[in-house]
Amino acid sequence: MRLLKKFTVPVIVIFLWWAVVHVFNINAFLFPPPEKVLAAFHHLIEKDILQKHVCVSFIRAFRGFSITMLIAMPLAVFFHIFKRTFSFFDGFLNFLRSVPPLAMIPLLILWFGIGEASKLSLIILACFFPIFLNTLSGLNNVDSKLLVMGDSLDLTKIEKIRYIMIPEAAPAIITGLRLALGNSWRALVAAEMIAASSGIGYMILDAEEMAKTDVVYAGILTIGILGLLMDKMCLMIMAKLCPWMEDLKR
Amino acid sequence: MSDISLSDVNKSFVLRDRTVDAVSNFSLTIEDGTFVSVIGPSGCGKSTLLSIIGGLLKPDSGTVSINRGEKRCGFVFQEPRLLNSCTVKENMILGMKHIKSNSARNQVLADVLELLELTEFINAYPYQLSGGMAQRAALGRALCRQPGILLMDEPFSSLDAMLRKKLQNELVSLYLKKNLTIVFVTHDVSEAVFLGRKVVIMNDGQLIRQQKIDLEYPRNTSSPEFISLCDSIMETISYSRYQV
Repeated sequence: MRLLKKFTVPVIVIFLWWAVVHVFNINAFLFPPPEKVLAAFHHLIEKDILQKHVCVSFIRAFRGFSITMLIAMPLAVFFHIFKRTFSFFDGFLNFLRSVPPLAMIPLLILWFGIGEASKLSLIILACFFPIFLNTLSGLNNVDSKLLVMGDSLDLTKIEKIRYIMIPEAAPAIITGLRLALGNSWRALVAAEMIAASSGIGYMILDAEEMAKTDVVYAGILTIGILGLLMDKMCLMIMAKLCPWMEDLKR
Repeated sequence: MSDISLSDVNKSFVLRDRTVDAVSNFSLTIEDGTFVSVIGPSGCGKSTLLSIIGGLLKPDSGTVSINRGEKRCGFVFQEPRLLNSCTVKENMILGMKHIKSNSARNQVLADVLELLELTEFINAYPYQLSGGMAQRAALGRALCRQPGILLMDEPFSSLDAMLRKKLQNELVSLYLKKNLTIVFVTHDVSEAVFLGRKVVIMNDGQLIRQQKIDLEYPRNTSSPEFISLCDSIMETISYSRYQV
């Protein structure tokens, strides 16, 4: 029943896609039918092209996401402890948050060249604020009554962080991580479309220049499927780490 | 022998631009093994008083002496305040830092779970418990500290009447079995008289009256003595509010 619920809409969409292309006899260059895109998928997989590009993109996204976590989370903890310090940085951080990461691409290429560094910095910019702000808000909104309860049990500071602060902030932190994961893919593909010789973004752009619309569609679908799989994977890991969070099991 | 002694205790809070005296010139002595009910209207300083006794708040002035010896305080709050990330067992173990040996810890845990009929929920998370079970688990966490003094802040106020009655009876039998010193905050006169050997009436942060309850446990809430005590306490509360 659950599988039926999950797959009903995608199956209907694919059917409609197939029906529209064939009934209205739309030019396959503009809107290739599903079977043509499937054939493109088959070709890309058979020639190891898709695997190579997915692998490169995945490693990039994972590296950028991990580095951002290592920067944003400790910074959020720092600003949670030193709340007054945050008021000095609040305006500046809001200013940075309002600048779309994609607008930074020319500067990043200028500063870091067209290699990996500029792509990683773009992913970091795209992932930073969801992780930082959600972690900070999660920590700041921990129920003070639970901390009083911790005092009544003579819990040490470390025990309060371990048993109260982190688990109570977990829902907000998880939301931030999921948002950042989505952002990392968006930023990555954009970066690969501008300056890269491999990756899904590059594959799509290359296919466009070669007028291979079916490969463009295959690339777009790959990004969507990968994003969905990564989100599911993230949820599965979180459900293992946070067994008390009912929402994650659905 | 007195277990808890408060002398001229004062505590005030600053709320926006005004100062509120939550507890003022409060003196009280609680004998060892006494069940004291503290009653008064909402906002009269009952919870603040309990927090001061439990060491969660420091008084602005006055002295609080607790003849602890090896005694610990166990706190039960109005809401269960269980940690969502911990099972019932893990929540209870948090209060057992004083027991070093694992086997002794498990024994205490098993005894408390059995006493509160929670054994089969040992591995349940708080979201899997009903309101009554969660409150019992919170009481269990306090009991796992093997407290000499149990401080309870309106612990049954959010429960339905049936469950409330059941937990009141359980608390009385626990008190009689373990000979604990209990300070129980409530705003329900009948609950205060049903549970306490002494009822302390508060209003506006001050001690208004202390009433000894000499009725035998278990108390009959429809007996003329019980009703008369309730009426007398109710009258004092109404009068003190009118005076303020």
